[in-house]
Amino acid sequence: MNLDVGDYSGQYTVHDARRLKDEFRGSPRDERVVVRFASGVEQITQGHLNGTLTDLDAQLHERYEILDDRAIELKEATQKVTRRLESGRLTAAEARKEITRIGTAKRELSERAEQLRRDDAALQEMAAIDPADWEADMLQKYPALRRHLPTLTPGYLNQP
Amino acid sequence: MPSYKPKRVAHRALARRITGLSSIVDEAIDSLETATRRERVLSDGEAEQRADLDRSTQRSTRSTDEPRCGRLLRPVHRP
Repeated sequence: MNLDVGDYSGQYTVHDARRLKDEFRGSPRDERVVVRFASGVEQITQGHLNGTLTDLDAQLHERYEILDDRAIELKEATQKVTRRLESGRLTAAEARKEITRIGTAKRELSERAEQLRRDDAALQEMAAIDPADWEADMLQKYPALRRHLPTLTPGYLNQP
Repeated sequence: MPSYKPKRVAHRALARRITGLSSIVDEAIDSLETATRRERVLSDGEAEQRADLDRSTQRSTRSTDEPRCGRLLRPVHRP
């Protein structure tokens, strides 16, 4: 016996799919189909979340590399100024200008490192989020994404 | 599907790097202060030397070219 697809066909969020799985009552075969569909919805959303996390993670590590390189660059620049100053190849006035510039760059570097730390903590929190809640947030922010939600079709429900 | 676990960024390593940079900048500031004092001493010394030189130049010029006022004003007593 086939499901009454008119009652169940449509697009599903993860929350909707979980509700469907919990509330659906039918033959064991139909229930298996619904469970498989709900699991597919979860997997699709988890896949999107994982993709987003992977991209953000890569961006954070790229920012880390840039900041680390910048710290090394500033360290070398400072050491060079000190050497040139001590050997008399740089006047105190010239060195003061260079050290002021380095000091400003160092403050900026510290601020960017702090921002990176906060963004990393936010990413760790995001990784712990339930994919269903993440999806709900995304749909609230970008309602057009609703068009891409998995669809439960009569064909899916009535497959052998 | 398992959820993706982001790798933690090595904040401590970066923080250590920035702390190391701060120490090096502090050392540079110390060197700068030393250099500033040295330049000031040299500059003061040069100014003093220049002033000495100017004074001695003035004295030598006066003794050869210009008669001293005191000598001109002093009455000349002849026996």
